[in-house]
Amino acid sequence: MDPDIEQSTHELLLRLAGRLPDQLLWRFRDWLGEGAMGTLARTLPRSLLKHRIDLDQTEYRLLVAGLIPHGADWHQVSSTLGVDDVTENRYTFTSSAPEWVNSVDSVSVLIHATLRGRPDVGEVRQSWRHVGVVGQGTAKRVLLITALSGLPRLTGELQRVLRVLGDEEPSVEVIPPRFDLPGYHRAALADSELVCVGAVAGNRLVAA
Amino acid sequence: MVEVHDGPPMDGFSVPLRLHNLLLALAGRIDDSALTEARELIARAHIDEAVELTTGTLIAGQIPVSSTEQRELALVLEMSRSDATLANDLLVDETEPVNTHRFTGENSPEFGIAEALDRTLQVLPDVRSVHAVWRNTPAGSVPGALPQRVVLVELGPEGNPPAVAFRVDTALRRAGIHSVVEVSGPGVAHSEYHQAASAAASPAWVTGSATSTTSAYRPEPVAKPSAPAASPEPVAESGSRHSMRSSATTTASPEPVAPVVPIVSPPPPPPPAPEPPRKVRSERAETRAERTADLTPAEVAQLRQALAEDPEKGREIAAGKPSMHEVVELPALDLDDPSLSERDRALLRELHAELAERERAEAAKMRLNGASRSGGDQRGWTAP
Repeated sequence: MDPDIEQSTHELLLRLAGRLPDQLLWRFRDWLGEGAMGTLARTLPRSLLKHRIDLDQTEYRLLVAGLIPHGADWHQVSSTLGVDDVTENRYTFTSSAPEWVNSVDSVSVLIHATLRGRPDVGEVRQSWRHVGVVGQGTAKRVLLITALSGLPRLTGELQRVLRVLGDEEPSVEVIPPRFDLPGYHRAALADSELVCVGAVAGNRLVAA
Repeated sequence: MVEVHDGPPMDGFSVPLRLHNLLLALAGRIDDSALTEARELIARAHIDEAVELTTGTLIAGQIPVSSTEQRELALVLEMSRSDATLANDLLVDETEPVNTHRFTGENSPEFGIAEALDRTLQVLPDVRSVHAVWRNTPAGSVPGALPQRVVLVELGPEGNPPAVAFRVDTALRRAGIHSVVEVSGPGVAHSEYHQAASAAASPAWVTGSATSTTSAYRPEPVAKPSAPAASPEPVAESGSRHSMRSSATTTASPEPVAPVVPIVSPPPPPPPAPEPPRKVRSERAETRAERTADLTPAEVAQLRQALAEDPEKGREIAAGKPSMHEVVELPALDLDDPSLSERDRALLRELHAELAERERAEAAKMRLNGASRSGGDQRGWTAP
């Protein structure tokens, strides 16, 4: 697969976090990780339209670059370009685990065992996402990872691990270097805790 | 592009049902989340999204399908106005998929299901049985946590499999029971996966006569009520699909149930019933109306005539006045007679309403006397 096309689609799916329903987002990211670009090209633009998710100009360019070469419908793609500003992040985040997570957080331990010292991986952090007021409703784990290469595959791999551990719609944000973070990710990082660090030192998500 | 006009084997089924049946065939081969989401999308009339999710999951997971399944997916894609060329990317392999899943009925996979589905099973028509089993093996390329509870639901011809799959899944999730729900209607062959699951499954809920005969469920046009749910029919509310529940329990439910709910067995008579035995029926097949009222044709004839001629007298009879059980000097009436008019049926419905009211009164009286059944009856509705 053309790395630029893959990178464009990955960045687009990264920017759709918190906007496209989790149920769809993790699935699209899995398909990207498996290289199913033709499938994404035929389904992602329609999903954006059906869920009334408008793209800003940067996102629109990523969609065009990533999916038009794989047969996305031009009319559908064109219709995704919005005019109004994209809605800012509507979630709140906390760094501490909710009460229902056992004192031994086995997911965190497993991620640590998998990614610590791993090549091309930088910092691995996690945050807990809440809808509305913290403490009401359920909290959802969001993993935030920096990586230099193979981002879609790493995302897919971690999603599979989280699903086996019981998170049906995992939120795994694998962030490339020099990425202009959307509000969702900035808010998540602002209230996150360190899980481990890969082999890439100095690629920090949060200033020490 | 895949040829989609070959006349696949599911001709005659509606598009949602075709996709539902495809999902049944794909159970155990794609992940349970995809199955559940696709079924919800079908039930919500988003067929295009359902078939795209299914096809995309197969493509991304490199999960092989037969050429027949590929054609069927292409057909559903086309019929739902999706891009049928998506099916070209499917991995086709004619080798018959071998079921490699392991199931176990140990550790009570059925625990809590009957209670969680109480209301659902009262409302949804023609549900025959609910079984549950644990699956200890992963499904698809992005499997979820194990063990996975698999809930197997059998429907009769009046049930709508996609709708039931979605509603049952919703009710179970609401009760905190995580599962994947497989709903089979009549006329669809069970895959090896379902056969293996069924072999190890434990019953969570089974209708009373489902184990003896299925023909007894079939709708009988003569007695089928034509009135919509707006005219509440206590006979339908009796909840007799829960064959082992006591009448006292079911009549306590204030919520009306749509009259299309088939009645599969007569409600159990109150233990100290003051009435004479009614087991004087002929061997002919019962109509639903008869089963719900549990009356002899002579009694029905007497009440029918009384209601027709003098509603007040009819209500007295229905209310259980002594005169009801006197020798009837009316000719026997054949309720199977197709010449019964709508008015006749309306009168019978009125009669049933009166009888149900009487049963409620009797049940209340029994409770006051301490003769009502204990809560053990509710537990007893889970078949052994």
